[in-house]
Amino acid sequence: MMSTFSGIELGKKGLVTHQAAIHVTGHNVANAETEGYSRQKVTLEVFDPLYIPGLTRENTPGQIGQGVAVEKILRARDMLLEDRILSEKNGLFYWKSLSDWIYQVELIHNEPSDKSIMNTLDKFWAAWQDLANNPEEIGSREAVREYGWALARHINYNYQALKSLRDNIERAVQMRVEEINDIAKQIAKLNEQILRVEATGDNPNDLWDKRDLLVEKLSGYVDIHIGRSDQDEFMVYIGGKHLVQGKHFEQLMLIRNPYNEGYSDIHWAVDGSPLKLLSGELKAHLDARDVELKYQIDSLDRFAASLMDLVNSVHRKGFGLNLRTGLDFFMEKPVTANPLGDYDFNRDGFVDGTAVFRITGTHTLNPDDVVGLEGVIRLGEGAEVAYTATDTVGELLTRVNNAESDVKMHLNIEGRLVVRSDTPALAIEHLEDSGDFLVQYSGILRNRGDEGAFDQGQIGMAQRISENFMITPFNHPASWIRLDENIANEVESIAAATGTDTNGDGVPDLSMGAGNGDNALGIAGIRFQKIMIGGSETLNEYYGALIAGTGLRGESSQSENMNRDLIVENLENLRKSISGVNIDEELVNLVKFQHGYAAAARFITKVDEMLDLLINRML
Amino acid sequence: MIRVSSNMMGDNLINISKRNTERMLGLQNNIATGIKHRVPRENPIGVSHSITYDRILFELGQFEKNVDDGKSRLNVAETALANATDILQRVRELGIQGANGIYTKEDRAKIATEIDQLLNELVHIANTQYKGRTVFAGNDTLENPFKATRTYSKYAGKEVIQQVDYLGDMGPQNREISRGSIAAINVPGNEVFWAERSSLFSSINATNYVLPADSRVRINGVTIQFKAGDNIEMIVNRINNAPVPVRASVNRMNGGIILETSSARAIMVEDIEGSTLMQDIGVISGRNAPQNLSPTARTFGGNIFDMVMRIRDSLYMDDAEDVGSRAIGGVDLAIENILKYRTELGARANRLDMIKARIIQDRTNMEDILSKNEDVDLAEAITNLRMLELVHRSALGVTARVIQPTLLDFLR
Repeated sequence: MMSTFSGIELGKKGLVTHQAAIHVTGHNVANAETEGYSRQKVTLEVFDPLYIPGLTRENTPGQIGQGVAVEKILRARDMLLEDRILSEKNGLFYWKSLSDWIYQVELIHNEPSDKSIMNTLDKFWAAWQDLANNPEEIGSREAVREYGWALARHINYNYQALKSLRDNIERAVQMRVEEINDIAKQIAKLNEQILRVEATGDNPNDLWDKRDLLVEKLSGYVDIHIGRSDQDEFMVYIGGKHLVQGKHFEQLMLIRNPYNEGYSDIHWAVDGSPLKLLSGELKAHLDARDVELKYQIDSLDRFAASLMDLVNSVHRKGFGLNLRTGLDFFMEKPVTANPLGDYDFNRDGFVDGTAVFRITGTHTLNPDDVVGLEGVIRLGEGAEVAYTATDTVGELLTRVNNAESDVKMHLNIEGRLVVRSDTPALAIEHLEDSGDFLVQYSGILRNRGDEGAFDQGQIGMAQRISENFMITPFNHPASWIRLDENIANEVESIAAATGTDTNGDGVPDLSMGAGNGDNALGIAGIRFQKIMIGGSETLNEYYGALIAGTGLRGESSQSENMNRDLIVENLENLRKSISGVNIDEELVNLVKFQHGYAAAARFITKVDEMLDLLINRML
Repeated sequence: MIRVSSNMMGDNLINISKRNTERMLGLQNNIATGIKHRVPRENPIGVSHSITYDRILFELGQFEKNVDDGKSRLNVAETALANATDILQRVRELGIQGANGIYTKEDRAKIATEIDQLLNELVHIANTQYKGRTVFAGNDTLENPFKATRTYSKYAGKEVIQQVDYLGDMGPQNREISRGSIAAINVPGNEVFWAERSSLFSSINATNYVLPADSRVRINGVTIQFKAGDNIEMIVNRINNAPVPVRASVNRMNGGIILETSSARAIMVEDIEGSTLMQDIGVISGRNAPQNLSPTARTFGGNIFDMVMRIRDSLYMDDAEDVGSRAIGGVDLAIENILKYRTELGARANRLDMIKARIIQDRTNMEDILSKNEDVDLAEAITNLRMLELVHRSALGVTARVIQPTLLDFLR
């Protein structure tokens, strides 16, 4: 025998359940456009029917259903799809970021246009040609000075722009690290709240959504790995170390790196170990800052240093209208005031090495001459070039330039051997010859073998090399390149004419005359000399290759960006398909549950009428 | 069957629309600037080519400027030489006239005076300037190359030019007319305005002379290398083997060296890089060329001014026979030498013309290549733009129709 009010109970359950279902539908509709929201579904189940077999069982046919109840509220979310999106987003953000930074570099280069460094360089060479056409004129000299200034200023400007960009990236790194630390904190807090809700058996759908949203944001910045295996401890790993473990979280910290111009490296705050990153926006920032932009600045410095050295070498041999000779055109600022190049490399207050950028030999060579000597040239760790008597000078130089070292050699316009460092530090590291090629043949070193070797790490090395050498220029020549004061103050000092050596000391001392422009032609001719990268490129070609290389990297990063964008878009569409709210669907559900609610209400009314009959109308 | 959530269609349109508008923006930029690529990433190889072609075009422009400048200077020199030739022809005429026996001493004196005027004019022409700089002075362009010294002549009864010296040098004025190709566009006065071959007889006996150290000497602009231990025979050999129009020999009479030019020009000798060779054997006396010939050496060989002075002085001295023979012959030599140089200048001018024509051709070609490389094909770009616009509008239209109706519109 059922209880009197079991009908009302049944109706009540129907009402409440359908009300809950309508509520959830309303929740879905309200959050249709909320970011990261996954639609929630109500699962209805049949309430436990009567009678459960037992001694107190009523002896009537059963079981009689007792109505409906909400079993659970689920959110529609595919976790496997989630993980895929996380890893793809990681790659997308890397390429998007990198592509944007490279784009900014391309804008600095400003090619193709008529306002790039290439154009200023053109005008510089042209000014020397015009001077050669009118060597007696003050006007042509003033033009040379003006275009020299313009070129120096343009190089300065590009350097400043690149440096600012690098500083901007540093700021972006700092901001992101702060944000990552904050997100870690938030995820840990959410983990705590979620755990408490899960412990009661409920589904914290909205908290899960919130956490998933934070995790997705994080995945754009760093390449994370999610550990869901332990229900009680939600783990977020970066590079093998955990950032969040349940309600515990770690923090990242920034440590300035003095060997990287004070830019910050990212470390774990807990033990100071470096953060290992493979992809993501943060990695893109670091790659852009420490690889791409460093390369750009180093290349510009190398360009400036070589330009200064070449122009000055020719200019010093010429004579101005005022008969002055031996003057530099561009101001030289060596890294140390010591004329022998002794320098304190490790900044500990004591000189510990010799800083030399370029050495020029004393003898004139011909690339087709057979060397006729044999030996081994050592340029540093693992860079040894052997030569035999049948090698030509040209072949030997090619081998040297292809060796794994930053020391490059080429023959200058007079046929003398020029040894130059291609390192960003612009200092030759090691030079040694067991034979006579670098010693007697070309006049670079004074002695063979170990005793005659030039090594950056020892002081006093200037005695072991030819007298014609250039000390490493002060840090970042592109930032300070400018005209020498003598030239800036007195244009008559610009050396257009060549001269003769009358007194036999090897240095020209008598000008050819005011009408001679051969030295100006010599400087203009630098344009065509292959002096970069060990004699394979001219200054123009070197800079042009820099721009083209940047463009290629820009093109490829942009195309990677676009590809991944499409992939992520498709994945997100798939997710929307699964988790997104469809208004029409919800409206139909609304109607359905509304009918259900109305029917349940009508049922209650009927039961109520029956009870009314029973209570009030029966005698 | 795929389930489509409500925001999918709207988001889809946003993404597609983003891509379309980005492409339209790119095309709009291309059409507005006329250039296919704005930044290197749009076409790295194309940009690299653009950079190279731009450089070449700029160079060609500069070379054209250099050629034009060279041509102007050559023209000025040519005009001066033409004028000089005219004057020398007139002097010749007057000379022939004066040699005629019927003239009196006074008549000859009048002719001589006219020739003297022409001589002044000739010096003036030799000191021709272009843009304020002298043309025939080699590299010493701030000064007049020829200096005329006036002294009293008792035959003329007044001060007349009695000596014209060359003070310039032999330096070339070089112009770069194409990559690595240098052309000299001047002729030094001590070559073109000379009439006779020059010779120098040293009076120092060099039979036992041995060169103490390696030396370098510059003769007429060409550097010659001598080795320690050379005796006079070897020195003579080296000079004769050098590419300079000066022949050396040993004077059998006094053991001194003889230097002779092989055509009408002056001799210019300089010891360089600390050498003392030419001073030791009595050719020069240490001062800077060209005023450095040793006073102990005997020198012969006159310039065109000397030739004109000879006719004038012969007329002043009433020596008709000398005028008619030697003097006129001298002027003939002068005219012949100048003619030689006019021909050469003409050849150089022709060469410059040919180079200029080629430069112009190269420029046209290069501009064409550059244009193909970077100029937008407007027709193509505009067509693409219109198509994109059409696609864009269709996308917008379709989405508008599809995202609007929901069930709500139909429920009562």
